Amino acid sequence: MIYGAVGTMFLDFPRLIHALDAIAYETGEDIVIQTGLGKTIPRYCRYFDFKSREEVLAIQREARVIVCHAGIGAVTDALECRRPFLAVPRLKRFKEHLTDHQVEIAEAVQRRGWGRAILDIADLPAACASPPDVPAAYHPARDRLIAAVREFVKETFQE
Amino acid sequence: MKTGTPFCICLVCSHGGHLTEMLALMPAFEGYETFFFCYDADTTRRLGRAYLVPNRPRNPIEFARNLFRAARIMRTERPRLIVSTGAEIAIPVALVGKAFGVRLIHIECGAQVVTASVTGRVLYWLADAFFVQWPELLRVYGPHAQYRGSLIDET
Repeated sequence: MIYGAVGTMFLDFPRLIHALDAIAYETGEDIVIQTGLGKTIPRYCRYFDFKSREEVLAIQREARVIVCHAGIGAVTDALECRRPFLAVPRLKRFKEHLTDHQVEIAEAVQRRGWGRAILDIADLPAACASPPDVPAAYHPARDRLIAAVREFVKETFQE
Repeated sequence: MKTGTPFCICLVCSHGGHLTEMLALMPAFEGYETFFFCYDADTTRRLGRAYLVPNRPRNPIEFARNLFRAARIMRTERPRLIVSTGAEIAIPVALVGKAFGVRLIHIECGAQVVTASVTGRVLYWLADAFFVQWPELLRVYGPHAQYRGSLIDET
């Protein structure tokens, strides 16, 4: 099963939904897409607009490949699930987002070896057919950041 | 409502990913009283103590109103510290907070990898501590920015 997600952005992301729909039609593979607030819905895939975070994580953990927009929430969740991961940035020129900042996140994902950035949607079928490996470990430096913030908080109230 | 507690922290953020990041940072504020300053939305109505303002970014009138709202809150709540994870809503609160002598910490959104956000560029000059979540972003901001861990990056 391939899991696709467009996130909670108010703008539509038909490029991704149509590409996944074409893959479902061509290969017959089971694909589930989170379609969010957009109007585009697939013809050959299962889909839903929103589910609870727990339900979404459960679906993602079962997926052979996760293909999602490169929003910070979706990327973080996908990395947590530790499945082969393709990040497809929403682009300003297709009116999928207000800026091109998702390209930065997708490229960072690829640079860190966490997954692959799909900058040209034509690359998606091949990437789904032979997805990147899941890295051996993923340990974000969360506790370090929390400790650094806490240190500053304590210092503020000690003065 | 209890006012003027000496251990009060003002948490300012918008309602989407910025709020998600603030909630992930909550363990840093354990033992201190906190209240939120956010846009009014589905996600923020579930927060405990919160001042919710209309979600109208890039609106100069609403920006001015937020300056007055922030000033009122600084007087009644008297926070010792403001914590911001962005976005624009943090700018009026930070400006007023600094005028009231409140300490300020900004944690730049994890979505900013190699370019600075507008909010970040303003708060860089106001914040007592300024954290980025990708080492790559240190080059973009000045020496005042620090990388001290991240909600997403591993380094």
